[in-house]
Amino acid sequence: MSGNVRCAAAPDDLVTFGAVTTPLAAVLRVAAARLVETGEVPAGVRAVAGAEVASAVALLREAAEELEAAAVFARRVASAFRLAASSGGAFLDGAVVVTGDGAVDRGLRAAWSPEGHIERSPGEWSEVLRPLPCASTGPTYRGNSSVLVGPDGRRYPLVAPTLVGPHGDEVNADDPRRGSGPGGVADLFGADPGWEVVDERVGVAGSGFPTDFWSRVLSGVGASVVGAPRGASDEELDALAHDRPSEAEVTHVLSMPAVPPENAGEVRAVASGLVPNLVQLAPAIADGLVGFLDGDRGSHHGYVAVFEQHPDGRLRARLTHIYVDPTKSGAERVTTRLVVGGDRLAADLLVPLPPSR
Amino acid sequence: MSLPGMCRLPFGPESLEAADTCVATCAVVLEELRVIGARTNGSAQQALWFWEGPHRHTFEERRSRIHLLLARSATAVELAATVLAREVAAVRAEAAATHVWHDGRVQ
Repeated sequence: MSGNVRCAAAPDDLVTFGAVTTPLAAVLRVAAARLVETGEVPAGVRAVAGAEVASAVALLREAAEELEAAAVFARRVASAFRLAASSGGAFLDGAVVVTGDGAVDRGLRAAWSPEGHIERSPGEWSEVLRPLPCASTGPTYRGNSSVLVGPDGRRYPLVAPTLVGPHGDEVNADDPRRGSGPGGVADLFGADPGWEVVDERVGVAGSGFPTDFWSRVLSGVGASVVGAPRGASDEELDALAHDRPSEAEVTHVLSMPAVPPENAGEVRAVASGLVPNLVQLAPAIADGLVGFLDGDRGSHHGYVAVFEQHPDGRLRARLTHIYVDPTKSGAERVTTRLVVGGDRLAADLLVPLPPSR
Repeated sequence: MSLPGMCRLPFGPESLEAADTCVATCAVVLEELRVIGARTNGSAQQALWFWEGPHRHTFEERRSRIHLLLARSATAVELAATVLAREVAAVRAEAAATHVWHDGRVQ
C-alpha cells in the first residue's frame, strides 16, 4: 500500500455514476433550451418574465456543467484506482480497490494521450471481441487488430462498431458512404447498447496539454446526443440512462462550417440531419483549434478517446481525431475521423491537416 | 381593469397562448428536476458506499453543489412560472370583462 491515507473505492460504481448522470445533464441542457424557446423567444412572454426565465436557464446550464464535471471526476478517480490496482500496489477485494492516497493521486496526475499507447495485437483483439455464444447475433466490430492502452492500464481493443439500425440494417461506423446523412450512423442513436463509458480523454495531439475547453467538449461528447425529450417520466429517464446513445456518435468524415458560438443556431440549421453532438460541438471545437491553427499552421489535431466496458466483461475503445480545415472563404471546416489502428494513427500524425475537400 | 401598480402589456390571444406554453414547459422542467435530483442522489450514494479517502470529500462537495444548483434551478423555474401565470390570469380576467384584448383587438 502506498501513501499514508487509506483509500478505497469500487471503480465500477464510480463509472456507473457517470453513466447515470451524463444523460441527466443532457436533459438539463434540453430543458434550458426549451425554456429559451418558450420563455425568451416570444416577445410578450419575455417582456413579462424574461428576467426570471433567463435566471432559470442560467442555473439549469450551470447544474448541467456541474453534473458533467462530477461524472468526469468520478471516472478519473475510477481510472486512478484501477491503475493503482494494476501496478501491484493495491489490494483487490472483490470489486473494491484498496490503496493509499499517493497511488490514487499519481493516477489522477498522470498525463495520457493516444500517442505511444496503440499496439498491434491481433490475437488479443480477436479474443476480446470474439462474439460470445449467448450474443452471437449482437453487433460486430471492425478494426485493425490494435489495442489502446487506457489511462487505467487496461488494454482496450480499438474498434469501429458496426451498428444495427432500427430496421435491422447494419452500418459500419467507419464507412464514409454511410457516415452521415439519412440512414447513416448519425441516425442510429443508441443502436449499439450495453456499453458503459469508463473514461473519456479529450486533448490536442502534439501539444500535450488538455485544456478546460477540451474538458467541456469531452462532456458534450457524451451528453449532447440525447435529442429533445418533451418532458421525461421516470421510465423515460430510466430508458435514457440505460440506452445511452453515445455509441452512435462515431462518424467517419463529417464536415461543416465553423462559426462563432453566437451563431451556433445557424450551424445547427445548416447541418440539420448530421450527428447532433457534433453539430452542437462544432463551433466549440473550431474555436479551440483555431488558436493552434494560427500559431502553428495546423500542426495539431484534437482527439477524443472513449473507453467502454460491457457487462459481459468485454472492453473496447473508440478514437476520433478532429481536424479544423481552413477554407478559402476564411471559415474553418471541422472534420472528424475514426481511427482504428496504429498505422492509421501514425499516418495521421504525419499529415497535420487533411487536404481541403 | 389593471392590477394596481402593474403596467399591462399588449397581450393578444397569441401571446397568451405562448405564455401558457411557457408555464406548461416550466411544470415539465420542474418534474424533470425532481427526477434528476433523485437519480443523481441515488447514484452518488452508491458511488460513495465503498469510497474512502480524500477524494471522497471532493466528490461529496461536488454532490452538495449539484444538489444546491438543482434546488436553485427549481426555485427559479417556479418563480418564472408564477410570474407568468399571474400576469396571464390578470390579462384574461380583464379581457373577459371588457371583451377587448390587451392589444386593442375586440373579441
